[in-house]
Amino acid sequence: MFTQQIINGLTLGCIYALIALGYTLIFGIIRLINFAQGEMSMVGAYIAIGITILLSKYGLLSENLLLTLPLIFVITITGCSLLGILVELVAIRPIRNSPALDALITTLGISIILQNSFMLLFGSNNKVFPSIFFQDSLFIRNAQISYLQIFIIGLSIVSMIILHIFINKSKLGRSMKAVSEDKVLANLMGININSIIRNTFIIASTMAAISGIMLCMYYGVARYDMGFIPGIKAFTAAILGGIGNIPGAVLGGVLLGIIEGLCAGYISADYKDVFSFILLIIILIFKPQGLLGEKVSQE
Amino acid sequence: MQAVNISKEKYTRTLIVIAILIILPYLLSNQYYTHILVLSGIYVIMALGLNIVVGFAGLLDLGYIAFYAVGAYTCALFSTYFEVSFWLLLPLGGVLAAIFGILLGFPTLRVKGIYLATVTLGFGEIIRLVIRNWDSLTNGPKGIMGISHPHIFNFNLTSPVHFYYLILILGVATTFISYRLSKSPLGKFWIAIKDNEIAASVLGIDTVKMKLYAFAIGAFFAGVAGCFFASWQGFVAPISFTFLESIIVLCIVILGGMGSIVGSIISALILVILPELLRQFQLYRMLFFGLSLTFIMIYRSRRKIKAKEESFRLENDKIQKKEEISNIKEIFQTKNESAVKENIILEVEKISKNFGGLKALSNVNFKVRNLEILSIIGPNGAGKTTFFNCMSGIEKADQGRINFYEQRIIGNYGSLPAHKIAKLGISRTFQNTCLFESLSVLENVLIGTYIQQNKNQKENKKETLALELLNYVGLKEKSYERVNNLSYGHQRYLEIARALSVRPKLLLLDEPANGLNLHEKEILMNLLLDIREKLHVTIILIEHDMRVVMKISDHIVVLDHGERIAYGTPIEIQNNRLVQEAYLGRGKKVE
Amino acid sequence: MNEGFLLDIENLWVYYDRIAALKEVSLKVKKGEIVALLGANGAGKTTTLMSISRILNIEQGKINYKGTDIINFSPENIVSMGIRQIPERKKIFRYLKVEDNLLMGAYLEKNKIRIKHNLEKVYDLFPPLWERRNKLGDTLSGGEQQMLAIGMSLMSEVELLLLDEPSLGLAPKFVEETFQIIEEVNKKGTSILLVEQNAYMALEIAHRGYVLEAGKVKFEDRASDLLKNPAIKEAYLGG
Repeated sequence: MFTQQIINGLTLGCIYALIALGYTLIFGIIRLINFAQGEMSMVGAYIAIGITILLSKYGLLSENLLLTLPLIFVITITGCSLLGILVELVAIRPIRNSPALDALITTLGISIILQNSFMLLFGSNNKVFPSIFFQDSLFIRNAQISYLQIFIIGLSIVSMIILHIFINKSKLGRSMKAVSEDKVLANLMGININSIIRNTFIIASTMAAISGIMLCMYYGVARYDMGFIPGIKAFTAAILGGIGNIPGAVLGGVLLGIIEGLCAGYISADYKDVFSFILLIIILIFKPQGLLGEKVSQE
Repeated sequence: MQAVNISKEKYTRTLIVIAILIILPYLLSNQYYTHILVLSGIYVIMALGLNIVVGFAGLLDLGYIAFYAVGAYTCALFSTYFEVSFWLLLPLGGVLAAIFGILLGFPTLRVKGIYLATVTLGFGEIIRLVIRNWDSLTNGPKGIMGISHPHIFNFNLTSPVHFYYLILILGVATTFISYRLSKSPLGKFWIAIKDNEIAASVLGIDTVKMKLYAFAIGAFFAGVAGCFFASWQGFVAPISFTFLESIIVLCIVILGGMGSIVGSIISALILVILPELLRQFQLYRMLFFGLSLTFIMIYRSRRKIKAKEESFRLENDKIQKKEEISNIKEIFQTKNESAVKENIILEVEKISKNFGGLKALSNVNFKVRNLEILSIIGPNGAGKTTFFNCMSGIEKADQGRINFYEQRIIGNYGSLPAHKIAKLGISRTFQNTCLFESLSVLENVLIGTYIQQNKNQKENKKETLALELLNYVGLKEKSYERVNNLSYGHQRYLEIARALSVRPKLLLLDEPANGLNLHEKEILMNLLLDIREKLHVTIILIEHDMRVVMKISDHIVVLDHGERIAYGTPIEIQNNRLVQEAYLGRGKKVE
Repeated sequence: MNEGFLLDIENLWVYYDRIAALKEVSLKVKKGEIVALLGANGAGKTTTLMSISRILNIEQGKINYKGTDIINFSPENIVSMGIRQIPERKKIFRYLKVEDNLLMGAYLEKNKIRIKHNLEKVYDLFPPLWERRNKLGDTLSGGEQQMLAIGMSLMSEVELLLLDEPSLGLAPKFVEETFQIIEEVNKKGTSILLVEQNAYMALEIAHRGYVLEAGKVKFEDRASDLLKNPAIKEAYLGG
């Protein structure tokens, strides 16, 4: 039971962590909570399902899984990134210097637009993701661990490691850190702030795309409002870890997933969210800047 | 008397609006429209409540709908289990919601900004989930039915028109309360906290308490609205209290222009009525909602936000220009008379403060005598402002003690919070002016006079004092201007007037001459000397301009790299070799 | 147009909100010069530098650099033209490693070999930076941070260096060192516009100086003459 709940929690936690990374990256760079991050993940799920439908139409879907799976990922990531660029250009850039709450409402607006336009375009029923990938399961001490869970956890870890290396070793990663710390100084180095912000949105959208595919693989279905709950959870996770802090987002996501898993297993599935939120509040009272957040002096 | 006309006009306008609202149901004579109006009335009340939290006090609340739920379920449970009368439940729902509001407010002691917003989100979700899952009490997702309608003696309120009048009364009442609050000291304190929490706290405002009030009053409004909702519908279910509902109320407040009462009301009416009118396009309703939110925000960012000058002008009419000027000097003197000159009033002992590895202050000692002017000088980064921050309770000193009139204000055990230090009679200005930008010049000074709790002092007397202080620093003509319209120099004088408004015994001034031209500096020096002579206020001054420092100081403390490297009279300091090297430059040509 | 000037500012007006921070400021820097820009806090010194770097909006006026009007340039263009500003307080990225800081200084430089060469040059000039190249900027002392900031500006070809209060918060020993470095950098051909509150030191290494007061140029003279000017002595050097 324990192992089972940990694995279930870890799977969900990894998905939260991926979305939370988007929140934290965007917050780090422009001090904005982008509430449309969960919807970005929903869009990813829809694109993935669209491709599987298209592939199966031509009978290519189950031909070669090693080929189709990466194809789904590449196209979904590209699609979400394009949407991310569009959102940044049309809605975020104009309001970058607005009061913080105006900016927040804008992102909520985007999230409502995305949800409802997908509902209008594709209907409000569940879209099925064909269960062709990773159907089998392992059994370890009474715990059933599906290959899909292993895949999700594994891929999440790989994505996070790649992101970590990218942020710390690449020129773009360095520039992102620089812009996030001090825009004026970054500008004085000759960095084009707008282009760095655009790239940050691309990376955040990529993370959301990956999480979207995972969500629809895990639950087998997608719906226009599927991004909402994970979005809120991931936001909570990012705050829990200390918003703007990349390891914090991962820690917060994983922690939240595991708490949920354990609460669902041992206390009550109905009250699992109650317990995670109570824990969130308690942690914030003792660590007002989140687990790994630092107190930034306000000069 | 144009001012009086404005007020009269406003009064008539309000009456006309109310009159129209009274006959409105007969004009529409359509049950469905009346129903929509009742619904929008509920949102008006909630928006006004959230406006207090977000608009006035500047606290982002993402779980506001929880208080609405508390009110609704209070009504539902007490009505169905104990058959309590609606008229009792209405205030009870409000009070219970307010208690929850205070509960939610407690994390504000430590948690701030977006983190606090997340706490409110979590709180909202907790309330909703508990209601949803506590089947035995709340009947879970199915909700509670059979809530009785309100009745007056034997007359049952049943038709939409009855509820319309009930919500109209509640709506007008909440509007009135909101309006009174916005004009009250409490309302000004909230705005001050929103504009600049630190400046508010060093004026003596207990920011935590004020925030709790905001949460409680805001929650009370929602509780009342929720109670009405339950009784009106006769049915409540958790589906009415989702996160999206919180967001909708928040959107109403922000679209209405945070802090604006009329704006909140109008935007509530629009955001509730418009989607209902679009009912035939049911599917497109939310899309339309999202699009309009986004476009309004983008549009709003493109035009410069217009100054809310009008609201300041309106206050003008209330204050009659009284020519009889009670002497401000008397007020100060009676307060500070007990102190004998030459007595030591402030003792600073071994104050140390580190930032990371950097020593901002180490072992700073000095004493301040009553009615002297003491200057603290030293190169940028020497720790001068850090010292002021420690002394006014904004930052915590790592070590050391400060006694003020023999009372320990800073120490290892029990440093006082900023607002208590302020109330003891220490008041300060800031290096970069920290004025309350949403308030008028006069209101900036008025806030300080509110804090001095003087029971026998009438409201208008406080205004007289504030006006007089402005007169004293030469800003009387600018009393009703926006702070941002003042020149830099005037902003600095205003900050001094604001610091004086709490009638301090000790005034801390952080680079008051910064950015002033020669002429303005002359005025400043005379002003400072006058404050000391006539108002009997001791002054500690951080300053870079040596002319000012040398001319008016009795003693000078020199800091360098957090250490006190010299203390003495201006002449002693000028001839001190160490000081010349550290501060005045190590040029070989020093003569 | 006078060809002799590297930087030629004429009649510059800059506003914060509605308050004029600079009022008809005119200022020139010749090639190879160190020009000191003095004045009290809030007089508009930093504003002048930020305007040249095109971070701030300019209401009115002309800025010519090597004969080109740069008013409509973006901050990136300014850097690519060889103008570098080292700001007053936040002059390095505290959460980047020392070497990454230097690489940020070479942001616009595409040629990897030249970057490597410049990196070696900076490490030669400032050996302490080499020792701490893998440490976060935050861990450096004030003096080392100043070295790093200057090092960052030397990572690309810089013709005009805008230095804002390099002595700020430095121990006297480091102040002297810093000023030596500034002179060295200048001798290698970089022109410098130096904002300083330590007026004596600034005027000792500068060729010419300007004194700003409340957003206006109050004095303009050769550095040696400014040092002798009694009015300045009283106002800015403490009598």
